[in-house]
Amino acid sequence: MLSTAWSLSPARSVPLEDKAQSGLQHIPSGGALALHSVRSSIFARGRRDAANSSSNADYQSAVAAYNAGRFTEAAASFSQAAHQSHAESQYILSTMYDAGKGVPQDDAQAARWERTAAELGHVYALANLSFRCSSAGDFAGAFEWCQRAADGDLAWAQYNLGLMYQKGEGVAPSEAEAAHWYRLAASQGFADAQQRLADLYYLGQGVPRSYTQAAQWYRRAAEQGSARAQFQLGHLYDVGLGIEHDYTQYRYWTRKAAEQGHEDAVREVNRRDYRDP
Amino acid sequence: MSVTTHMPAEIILQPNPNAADLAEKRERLSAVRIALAEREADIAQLRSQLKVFEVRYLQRVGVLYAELDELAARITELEVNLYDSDSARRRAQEARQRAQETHEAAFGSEQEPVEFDPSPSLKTLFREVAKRIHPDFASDEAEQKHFTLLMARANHAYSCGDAETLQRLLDDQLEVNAAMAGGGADEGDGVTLLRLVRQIQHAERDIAALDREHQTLLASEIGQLYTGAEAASHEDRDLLAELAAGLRERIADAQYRLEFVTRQVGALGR
Repeated sequence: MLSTAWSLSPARSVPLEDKAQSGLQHIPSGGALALHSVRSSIFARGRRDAANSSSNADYQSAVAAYNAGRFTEAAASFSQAAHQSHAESQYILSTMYDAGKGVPQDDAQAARWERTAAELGHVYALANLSFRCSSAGDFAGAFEWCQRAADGDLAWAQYNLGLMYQKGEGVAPSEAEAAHWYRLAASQGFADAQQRLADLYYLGQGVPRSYTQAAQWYRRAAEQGSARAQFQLGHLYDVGLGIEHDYTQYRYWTRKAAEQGHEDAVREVNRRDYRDP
Repeated sequence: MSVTTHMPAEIILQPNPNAADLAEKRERLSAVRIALAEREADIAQLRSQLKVFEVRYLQRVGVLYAELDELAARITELEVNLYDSDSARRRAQEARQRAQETHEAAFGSEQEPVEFDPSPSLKTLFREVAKRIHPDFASDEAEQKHFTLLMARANHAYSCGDAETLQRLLDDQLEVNAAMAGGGADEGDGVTLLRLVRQIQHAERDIAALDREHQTLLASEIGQLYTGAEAASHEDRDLLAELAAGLRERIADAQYRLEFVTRQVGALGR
């Protein structure tokens, strides 16, 4: 029932695209709750935060250059800030090396800066590093870094951590843990996590079976365009599980799923059109 | 022992080969002791600057970390209500413990003054040191100045219960006195030279130790923060204010999240 973990595009593309859309502005990455970051003294935290301050002059000029499309100049300034332990700059620099933007494409440099930023607790870097480990077949490493990113409240990482628990990849399998992490990501509006959590409620895996809960989470995912959630929600309307039977709703959601090419939904729509045009 | 003792008196009055050497060593000792005194003053100043900075940091920034961690702990505790699991409970416990640690670090910074109760052996050691380096017993003004410095160091070591430093001070004096005792009542040039060499070595060793301490202080977390704050202030920036502003934003985020999770728990209860 599970497709490959990491079926989603990795985090690396997410933040940069976000930035490209909004214009790479001042991005305070420290906003997440650093629940599990390395236990460090109150002074060490201040120093780390100070080093990552957005007032870093090289970082500011790098952002200005980036927003003006002068990527070579931006990379040079990010590199300056990166050498001063500015985690956000290290992270962006790693994505620039990855994409060959403003610098020649260089996997080794990308990995190096990604790791440095990750070690400073930068959540996107943690997520990317986790993905890099996973791609290299190091599932234990992928799990460990992903856990730190998830603790940093990154929904993508919480969802993937749930997948790892469900598959038992890099960690002993636990549906209860999977449900826990799916829920955290789902509460943040992460559609795939909402659909996975709904599946667990539907099947009673890791949580007490509840069609009501399943229907609620399927609906939230379906409204965000998840084909499987739309099909499942349609099915629940059809049989009246956890939700009042509603033929119109059943037809509506099944068709939505079929429009997206969901195979069971397409079959269902074809059968219904034959039987019930 | 040296060639000079066999020489005629007339020649001794002439500047012998050792006299220039002795003068050079005396000058060297005086220079090294001045440098040592300056280092002592520098490091005392740095220590007190760091102390002041530490208090300011805790009052302006540390308390905000405590507030942030308290919110984080409450969020994870609510998440246990929301969805009970071993890992949720463990997370909540860890977050709560961290919040407590941060709270203690931020608010419990004023350590309870510990009652000073030196052991008898430490008292004896201190007395042994003090009677050898008491400024009143110095033979000249330069030595008196130096003894004053040593005495301050001994007092500090004694009040910290630092037996190691006291023992080193004592060893130094014993070594110097042993060199002098070898020459009898009348300190010959050879003996003086040896004494000066030892004293120069002691001072240089102490300078090196102070330099190391200086580096250690600056390399510490608080030291680096302090350096950063100083550098920022040269650019007319207030690093602590910047840190505090960043933390207030994160506190606002955490408060929003706390309200969000509280609503979720409420919805679950219905």
